[in-house]
Amino acid sequence: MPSRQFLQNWINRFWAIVGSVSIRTKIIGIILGLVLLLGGGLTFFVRQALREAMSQELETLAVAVTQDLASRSTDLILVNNMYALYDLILQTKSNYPDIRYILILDADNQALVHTFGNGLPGGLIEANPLFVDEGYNIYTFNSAEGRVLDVAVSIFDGRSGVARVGFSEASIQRTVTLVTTQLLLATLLVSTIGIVASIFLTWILTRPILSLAQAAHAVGQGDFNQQVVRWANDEIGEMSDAFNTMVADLRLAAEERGERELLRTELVERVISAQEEERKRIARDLHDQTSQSLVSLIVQLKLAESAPNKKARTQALLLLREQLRAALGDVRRMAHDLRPDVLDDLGLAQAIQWFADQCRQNSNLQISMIVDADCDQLPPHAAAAVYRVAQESLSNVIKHSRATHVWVSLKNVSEGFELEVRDNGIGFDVSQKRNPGEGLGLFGMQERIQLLGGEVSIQSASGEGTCFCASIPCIVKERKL
Amino acid sequence: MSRFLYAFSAILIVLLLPACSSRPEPFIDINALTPVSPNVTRDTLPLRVAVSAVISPQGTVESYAPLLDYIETRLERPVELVQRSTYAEVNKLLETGEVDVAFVCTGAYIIGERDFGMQILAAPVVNGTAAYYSWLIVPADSPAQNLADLRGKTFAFTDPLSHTGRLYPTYLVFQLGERPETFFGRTFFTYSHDAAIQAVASGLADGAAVDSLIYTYLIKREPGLEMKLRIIHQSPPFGIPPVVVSPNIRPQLRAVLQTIFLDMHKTPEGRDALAILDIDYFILLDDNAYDSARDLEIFLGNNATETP
Repeated sequence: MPSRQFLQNWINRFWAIVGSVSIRTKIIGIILGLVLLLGGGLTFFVRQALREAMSQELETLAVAVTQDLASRSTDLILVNNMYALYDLILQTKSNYPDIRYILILDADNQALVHTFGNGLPGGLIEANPLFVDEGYNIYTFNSAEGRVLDVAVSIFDGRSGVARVGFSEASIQRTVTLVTTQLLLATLLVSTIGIVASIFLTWILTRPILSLAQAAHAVGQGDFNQQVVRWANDEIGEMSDAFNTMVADLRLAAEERGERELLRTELVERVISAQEEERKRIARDLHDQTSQSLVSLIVQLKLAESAPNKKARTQALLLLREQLRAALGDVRRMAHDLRPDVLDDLGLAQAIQWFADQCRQNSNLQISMIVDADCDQLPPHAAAAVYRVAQESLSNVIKHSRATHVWVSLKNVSEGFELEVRDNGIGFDVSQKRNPGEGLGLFGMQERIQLLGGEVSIQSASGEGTCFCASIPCIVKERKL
Repeated sequence: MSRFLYAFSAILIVLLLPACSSRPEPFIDINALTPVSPNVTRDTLPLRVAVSAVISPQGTVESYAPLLDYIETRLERPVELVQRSTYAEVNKLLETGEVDVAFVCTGAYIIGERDFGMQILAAPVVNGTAAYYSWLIVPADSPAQNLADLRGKTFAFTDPLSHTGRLYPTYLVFQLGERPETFFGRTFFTYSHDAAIQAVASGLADGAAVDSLIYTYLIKREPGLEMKLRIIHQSPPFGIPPVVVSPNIRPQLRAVLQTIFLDMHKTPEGRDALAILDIDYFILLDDNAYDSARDLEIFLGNNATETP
């Protein structure tokens, strides 16, 4: 009794072999196996069925022929016409090629006539006895020439004797062998065709697969210009299409990535240089304004110090106080410019309002503000970024757009905030500004918003104003640049 | 899993079993011939009785079996029925003594008596008479009323030597001043009366002349046959077909046989056997009874009857 383990071993071995051979071998194996199984099975069963059918037919024929012979023999035996009887059996034998011998026995089981010639085979007469109530009896035996069917039919109910005819199954055997051979040859032919077909099939299947594998490898190495040929309109063709689309997408993504890398590098450079510029400005401001103020304060102090009388000293001190106040105001203003308190103290909405107010004071621009947002949810760095963006876009409007009216709105939308800055200025060609070197302001703004997980859209055309729109999600997502 | 495999292999074996199983068959070498051993010789020589081909050989066997059995019992000696295809063959057997007794046709007796001294043993009485006739028969729907109407038609003879089946109709044709070869459209020999009757009944022949005894015998045994036939002519009476013996028969055997025949109707078994043949009893008959037939033969002989 084979154990489960033993069976499992064989199954594992089977799968190991199947898995390790090429597709061609697999396909050839399957096709060949099926053809041989079908051909072999068919041959076997057809052979059996054919032999059965032919034997049955021979039996039917044999009985009919012998019965006919028996009835024809009756009168001839009764009138003792031995020559005619002999002639009859010779003719019958020649009419049916399968007849091997004919034997007419009289009522005493003695041979009256027969086709053997010089004697009778031993044991033949006794081999097929016929009983009184039997119409006929069939007896089969083997001989050197193959199987023989011996039919015995009584003549005139046994009163005149028995007719015995021996039919050879040699022709049946020949036919069965012939058909078997033909079926096997056909199986062989189909096997050969099958092998050729499977080789062709394999080639059809593996050619695109291999080229796909090659292309994938190249793409992995960084070559995004690979395209595979679509060999056929089947599943592999679809895979080829998908692959090509993927490579095209990868290429685009790589290009975009390259562009952005470039922009980012520039941005970083610009940021650094902007930082330096800013520092320079602060330094200058400090030097020009602040230190100047301080110098005049020292002078004033000296004056106050050397004042002749109390009245002069009080005046000088009052002047000093004025000058100090002014200086303080300057410093405060500088500080505010750098970073407004209002942003930290009152929040984003107020900060934007304050900046807008400043702008109104410093220009002829009419500014309409709608601030309808709850900005408490934004983390501080996000609020700062939005403020800078608003600041930058408003500054752009003032500097470049020659607009007369600008509308600013900050609203809550479904999942976050939306900042919109729209002006009625001269507009610009949006695609132009994407090029690095022509003012990174827009790009910088875009980056800052994208950093927060938001999106920027700029709509503008020459003579048609500009609309800058940024949306920022509530839940700020960190995104890698 | 293994259970499935077992089931599968079991099915496979069952399918293959018919192919594999081969009962060992006996072997006979049909090329090894041994000379045929001669017939077993019997202890007692049987009495060989020939019956002429008046009806078919199988019919003869059926009809004569009881009578021959009766003789066998009476004689205490096996009796063997011998049949031949033609009257001439039976005559020959009688001549050589190969058969001892024979039932022959009148025509055959006349020739046999003339040629080698065939002797009458006894004669049957049928329907109260020891005479019989030749009846000309046609299909029931035939318009023919006599032989003259059969001109150009197909005619069936029985045996060439048959008195009722050939000689008499030939005589009728001669009476019309014709010869059978030219009078009839086509003729053929059936070699037995029942075959001639069947030929006419089936329409194969337009007419035939048959033994009245046989005709009566057959229509009694085959219902429906009579309706297919019509008798259009009856010959004058002829001596009934006798039972004859070979001239070589031992007188003692002859005497015993004659007694058996003549006394047959006196026993129940004998009467049964006779009844099957429609025979009332056997009588001694003198040769004169056959003169009318003889005259006819002589007449025909003078007019060169052709014997095929």
